[in-house]
Amino acid sequence: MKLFTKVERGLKSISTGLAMIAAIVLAAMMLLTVADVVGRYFFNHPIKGTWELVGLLLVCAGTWGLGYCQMEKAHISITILLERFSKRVKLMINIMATFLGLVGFSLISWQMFLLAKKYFLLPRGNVTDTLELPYSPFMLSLSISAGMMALMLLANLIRSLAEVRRK
Amino acid sequence: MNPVGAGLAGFALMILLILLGVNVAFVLILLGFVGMAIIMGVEPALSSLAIISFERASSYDFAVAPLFLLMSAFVSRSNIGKEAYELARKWVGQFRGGLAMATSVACGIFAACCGSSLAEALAMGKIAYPEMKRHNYDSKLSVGIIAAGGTLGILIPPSMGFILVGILTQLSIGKLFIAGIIPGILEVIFYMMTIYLLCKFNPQLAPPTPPIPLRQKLGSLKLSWPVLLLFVLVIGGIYGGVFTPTEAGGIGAFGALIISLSRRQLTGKTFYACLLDTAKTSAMMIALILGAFIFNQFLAVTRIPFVASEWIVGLGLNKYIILTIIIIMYIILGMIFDIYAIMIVTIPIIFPTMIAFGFSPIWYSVIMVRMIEIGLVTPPFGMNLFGLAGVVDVPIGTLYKGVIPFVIADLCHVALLIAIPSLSTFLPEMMISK
Amino acid sequence: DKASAQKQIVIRYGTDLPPHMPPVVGQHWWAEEVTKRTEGRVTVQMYPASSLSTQAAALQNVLTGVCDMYMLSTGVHRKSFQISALTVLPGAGFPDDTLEANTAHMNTFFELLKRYPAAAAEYKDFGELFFYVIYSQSYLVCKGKPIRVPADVKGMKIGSSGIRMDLMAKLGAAPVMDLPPKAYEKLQTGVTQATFAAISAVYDFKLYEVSDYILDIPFGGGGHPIVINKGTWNKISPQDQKIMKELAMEGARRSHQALADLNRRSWKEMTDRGMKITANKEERRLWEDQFKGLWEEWIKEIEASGVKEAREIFNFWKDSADRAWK
Ligand code: NA
Ligand code: NA
Repeated sequence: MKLFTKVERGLKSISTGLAMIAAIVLAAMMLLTVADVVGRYFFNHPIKGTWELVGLLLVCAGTWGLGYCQMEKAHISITILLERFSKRVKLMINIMATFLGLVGFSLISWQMFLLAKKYFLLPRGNVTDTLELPYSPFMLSLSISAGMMALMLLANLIRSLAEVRRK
Repeated sequence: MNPVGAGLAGFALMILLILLGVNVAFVLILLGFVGMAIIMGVEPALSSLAIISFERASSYDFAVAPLFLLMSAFVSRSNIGKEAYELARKWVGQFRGGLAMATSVACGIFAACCGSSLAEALAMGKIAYPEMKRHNYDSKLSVGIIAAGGTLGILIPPSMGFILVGILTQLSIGKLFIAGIIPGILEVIFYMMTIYLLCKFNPQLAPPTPPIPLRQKLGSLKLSWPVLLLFVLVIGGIYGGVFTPTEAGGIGAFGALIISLSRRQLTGKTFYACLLDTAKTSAMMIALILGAFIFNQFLAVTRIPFVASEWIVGLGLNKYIILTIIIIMYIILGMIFDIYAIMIVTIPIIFPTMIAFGFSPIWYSVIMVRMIEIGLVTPPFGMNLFGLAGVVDVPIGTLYKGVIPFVIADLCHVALLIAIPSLSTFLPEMMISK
Repeated sequence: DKASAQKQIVIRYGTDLPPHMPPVVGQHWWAEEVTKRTEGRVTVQMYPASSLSTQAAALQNVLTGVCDMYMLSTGVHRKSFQISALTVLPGAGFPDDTLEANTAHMNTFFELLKRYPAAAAEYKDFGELFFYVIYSQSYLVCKGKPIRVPADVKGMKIGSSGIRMDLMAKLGAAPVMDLPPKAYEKLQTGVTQATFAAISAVYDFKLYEVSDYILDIPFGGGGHPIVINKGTWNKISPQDQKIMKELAMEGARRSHQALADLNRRSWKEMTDRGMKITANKEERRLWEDQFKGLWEEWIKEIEASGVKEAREIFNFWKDSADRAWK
């Protein structure tokens, strides 16, 4: 359990680190949009492929915070009925919820990795239309954030199971 | 298992798990996947997970929501939002529910900047909720008006809702935008009346503040410039052709940042806190969106929405009865599913029949956008409710209770729009067609 | 009974357009007819308006069997179907306002696949390609002052996508990413001063309400190869495959007729509104000089990918198109 606590702490700092990167990328998306609009309106010189880049950056800005969001227990659930249950039932439901999420995000992470690999190996059609940026690194980044989310869920699951055993 | 059977079982299980308290995104992702696997096979279902996730997580159109969220984080961390509500308190605080009514007007104005209801609900939740809370407003009332008012984002132009309907029906998007203006203003008024009535029957909801002399009121006007500047920047930019509604999120965030910095209301630390907080909320939102789209694909392959709309079209009843059935269908489906997915499938099937009945296409489109708005806030499955729950500190049960009076107001509003079609068609018909 | 039930094949067929639009009317007809004529052995379910898959995700969705069939757009997938994307090249495409022209366009496409293995190879991961619907030519719609020659676009904000975006950047315009549904708003507010839109989309999306001129120079058409998942195709009996192929000809005819009618209607609307600008010979030549650069680039790119007969392929396409204009 001591080791696990250490691992858990490590996961938390990685999750926070990824969320920090997501935050910085978010600021970059804002600045890119402003620069594109200013360039287009005042200098007739938009930044080529801004919409493409903003979309791809969203992968990072929008999903690298997934693990951090789980850490802060900020993913939405409806607790109207849950509040009425006994502690034990609550714990059971919590374990089931964590397990379902773990399966879901593990599948996404795994499949995202396969898709990234597939795109990496494609002879053509694996780059964006305007900037010709390869898709695979962005796919890989989504695989990483879903994977991080899955690891956080796994840690939560282990914690909850340990709690069951203690009782 | 046949698709319809798998569908019905999947939907029942989804509602059950969500109500038991399993995270909404987890339920949608996993059940969507299992459902697809049953109908399409495991391999296609597995690859769907990746294809859908990447497509939606890298969608330029969704980037607008985190950027508007960032704007509202700046607005609420610096004093921009606080001052705007201080101003509102001085002017209308002495009326019961005055601040909530001011919020519904603010939602109407914000809708002119933002084409997405989800983005608007999240942004307004961040700005308006803490202020109403500070003034001791009941959280049911505050979140109710924010959730419902947020839906105005797609009725008052610009609107992703009208763009979607325009694509499906090939109506002039410009005319549809114009058509939403009067119904949008009326909706704000309906919400204000709802607030008035709620406060009349339960004065505890919104404690009034002591009236303030006119001199002080006028003096408080100077508080309005930061928020005014921000709105002028965004609305002016959109209608002046400087940027698109999708770009408005980034511009608004930048504008709020500059205003806060110039008034020294944002330190490096709070700036960073705004970014991190937005990254967290965005992740919550993207998880929901991924879940919704994965589940939507399952919903599509069950063919249930197709079957339902073909059934209605084939009924051969009086046109107003059909219209009523359609509205009831949307209300029910909107309680259980992502309403956008329902619309994409059903509009192409139902719309031609409604036009053949002699209904005005523009008017019918306005009614459809109203049905989307309602679907976004009806419990248990309301995308705006889920999103809002992520930015306010109230349990979703409070949201459910809070929004119901406004849904009733919505239904009255829709009834009015149906009774007087010219409310929707008057402005677009006035538009001079070259 | 069990054996026949097992043989039943359901085809999930996706498009990105609502069912009443000309490019897909024939496809919806086809879906119903195939189901009828095969007596349900092959049941085709339509998923219009991106309800199953968006255009962007369609390729992966068909390859992995999420959809069995999809109406691809060669413009959107020009990086994956480089040779098929010939249809998108400005100034080298077919006319699109008669059934005959549209049929000639389709036949040339199939002939291309037959003659050049490199072109056919683009579809090697799919089942047999037997259904193809053309798409209309794009034109330049603008507001304020008319655009007549390439030099006119300099300094203008022009809505475009894909290859036309590259062209506009080269001519000193400020290209703005744009597609017809959102083009209206951008023209109306002034985010763009001009935009490229297929002539059918100009009518469908009422772009004439927010613009003043349309130049009659074709800036490239499009094509809709309707691909089918290989595994699905191989499961279908030869007899049913034959039915599907035969009906595809009539399906394409219906779509091509509807498209031709729509495109004529659109041009009539523009002419009646006094919006149509007819380029003279000299103006045409100036545009063609620009287009030639894009053609050469295309040829070089195809050659670079190891297809030696790139120039021959281009000439075959251009000659057939030129004949259709006469
Ligand atoms: Na709006
Ligand atoms: Na709902």
